[in-house]
Amino acid sequence: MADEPREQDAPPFLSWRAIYAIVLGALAVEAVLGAILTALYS
Amino acid sequence: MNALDWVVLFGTLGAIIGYGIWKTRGPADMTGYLLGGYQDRWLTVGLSVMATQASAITFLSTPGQAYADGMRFVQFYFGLPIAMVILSIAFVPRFYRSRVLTAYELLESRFDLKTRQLAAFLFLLQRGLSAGITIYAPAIVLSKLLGWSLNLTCLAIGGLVIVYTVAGGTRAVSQTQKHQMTVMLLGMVVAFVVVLRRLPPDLSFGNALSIAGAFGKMNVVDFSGGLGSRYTFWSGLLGGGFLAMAYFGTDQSQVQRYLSGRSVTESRLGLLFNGLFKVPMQFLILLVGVMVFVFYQFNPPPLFFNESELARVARTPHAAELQRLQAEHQTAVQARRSEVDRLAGALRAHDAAAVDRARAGVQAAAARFDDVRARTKALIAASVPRPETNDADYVFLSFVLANLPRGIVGLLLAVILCAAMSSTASELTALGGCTVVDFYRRSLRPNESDAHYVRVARACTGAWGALAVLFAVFAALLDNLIQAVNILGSLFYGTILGIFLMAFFSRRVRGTPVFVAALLSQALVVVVWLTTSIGFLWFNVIGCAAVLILSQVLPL
Repeated sequence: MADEPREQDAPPFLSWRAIYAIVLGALAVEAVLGAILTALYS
Repeated sequence: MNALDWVVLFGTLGAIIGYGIWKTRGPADMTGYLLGGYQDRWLTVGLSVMATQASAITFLSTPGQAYADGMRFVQFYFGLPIAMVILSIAFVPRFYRSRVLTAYELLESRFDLKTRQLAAFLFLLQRGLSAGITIYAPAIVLSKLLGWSLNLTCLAIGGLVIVYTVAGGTRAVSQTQKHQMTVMLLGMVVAFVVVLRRLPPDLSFGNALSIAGAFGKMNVVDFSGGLGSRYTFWSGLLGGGFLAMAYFGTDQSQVQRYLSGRSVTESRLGLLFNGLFKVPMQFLILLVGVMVFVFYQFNPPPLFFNESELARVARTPHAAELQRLQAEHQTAVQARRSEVDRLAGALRAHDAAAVDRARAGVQAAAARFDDVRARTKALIAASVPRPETNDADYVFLSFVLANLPRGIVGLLLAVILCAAMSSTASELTALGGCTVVDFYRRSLRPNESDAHYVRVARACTGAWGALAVLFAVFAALLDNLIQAVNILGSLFYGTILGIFLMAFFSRRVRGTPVFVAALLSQALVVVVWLTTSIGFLWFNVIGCAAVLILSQVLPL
C-alpha cells in the first residue's frame, strides 16, 4: 500500500501538452458537430 | 417488473456492493479511509469522478429534459473540458504538494483558519442539504411509477450506501463507483439501441432526427448572447466552465475522488478522462430522450407522464373536465400522428417542398397538442394541494416500464439506483471527512490518535447518511425547501472558487481581505438571485469575480 502520493509528473504516453490538446480539440469538434446538427435538422 | 427484472436489479446492485466491501476489507488509517491510501489508477479515478457527478436524477431528468426542451442542455457541459485542463495544471499539483486530506485544509496554510472553516462550512451546508435530495429525487419518481413505498425506497438507497461507505471509506466508494459507472454507461447504450429498434422500421435514423428537428428538439448549439437564456454556447462555456471549476476544484466530494490517485499523473489523467467523455455521455443521454420523443410521435403518449397526479385530479370535482381533456388529447395525438406520417413520407421521397409543407403541418399539430397539455397542467394546479405540474422526470422511466423488454427494465432501474448510490456515497465520505479534518481534529480534539479520528470519521459519515435519509423521508413535506436546495449549490460555488483562485494565484493578499470579500460576494450573489432574472450559471461567474476584485481593493 502506497502511503504517500508520488509526484510523478510525466504522463505514461504522449506529452501533457498533446493530451490537453486532445481534450480541447475534442470539445471543438463536438461544438462544430453540434452546430452542423443544428443547421441540418432544426 | 417481473422476476427477471428483479434478478437483474438485485444481482447487479448486490454484486457491486459486495465486491466493494470485500475489496476494501481490513483496517485503515486516516489517509487510507479518506483518500484510499493513494492507490487508484487513472481509469478508476476518472470513472469515480464521473459517477460522483452522475446522480440518479441525471438519468431520470436528462432524457425528460431532451423530450421537453431538446438537445440544448448539452451546452451546459461545454465548459467542463476546459475546467478539467485548468484544474489538472493548476490545482492538482498543489493539492498533492500540500499533502491535504480536504481541499479546505490548504486554505489555512495560505490564508488563515477562519477562511478555511468558512469554505468548509459553505461546503457542509450545501452538500449536507443536497445529499438528502440526491436520495429523495429518484425515490419519489420510483415510488410513484412502481408503487414502491417512498420511505422504504429512501431507507434502502441510503441504508445500503451508509453500510459500504462507513465500512470501507473512500476506497470502497471508488471501487463500487468504477463498476456502477460501467453499468450506467452500458445501460444508456442499451436504452439507445432499444429505443431505435422501437421506431417504425422504415424510418431511418436521419429521418428520425429530421422529425425531432421539426419539433425544435435538435437545437444542439445556440450561439446567441443574452444573460437571461439559461443554455447557450456562451453560458455553457463561461458559466458552465466556472461551475465545473468550482465543483471539481473545491467541492470535497470531487477533490477526494481524484486525490485518491496514485500520483499527480493518475489524478490528472482521471480528470482529463472526465473532460474527454463527459460531453459525449451527456449527448448520448439527451439523444435517448429525443428518440423517446420521436417514439411518442408514432405511439400515443399519456396525457401527463406522472399519472398519479391525474389520479388525484380524478378524485376531485374537476374529474369531468379531466375526462374532456383526455378526449381532446386523443384527438390531438391522432392529428399529430397523421402530420408526422406525412412528414416521414416526404422525407423518404426526398421532396423538399413537401417536407416544408409537412413541417408547417407538424408544428400546427404540435401547438394544439401542447395547448391540451398546458390546460391539463393548469387543471392539476387548480385541483389538488401541492400540485406537481412538471412531468419531465417521469418521461424516461414511464417509457422504460411500458416499452422495454424483460431484463432491460431491471438493468435500467439498476442504472438509476447505481447513480443514486454513487453520488450519495461520495457526498457522505466527503461530509464525514470534512467534519473531522476541518472542524473536529482542527478545533475540538487536535491530539488524538489516528485510529480515534478514523472511528470519528466513520461515525460522522454514518451520521451524515442518517441525516440525509431523514431529510429525504421528510422532503415531501418541504417542497419549497427542495427548490431552494437545488439553487443553493450555484449560489455558493462562485464564492468558494474565488477563495481558491486567490489562494493559488495571488501571493500578495492575506487572509482577512479574502474572508471579508467572500462574505460580501456571497451577499451580492444572494441579492442578484433575489432581484434579477439572470440565469443561475452566471452566479458562479459573479461570485468568483466579486471575490477576486473585492479581496484586492478592500482596505484591510
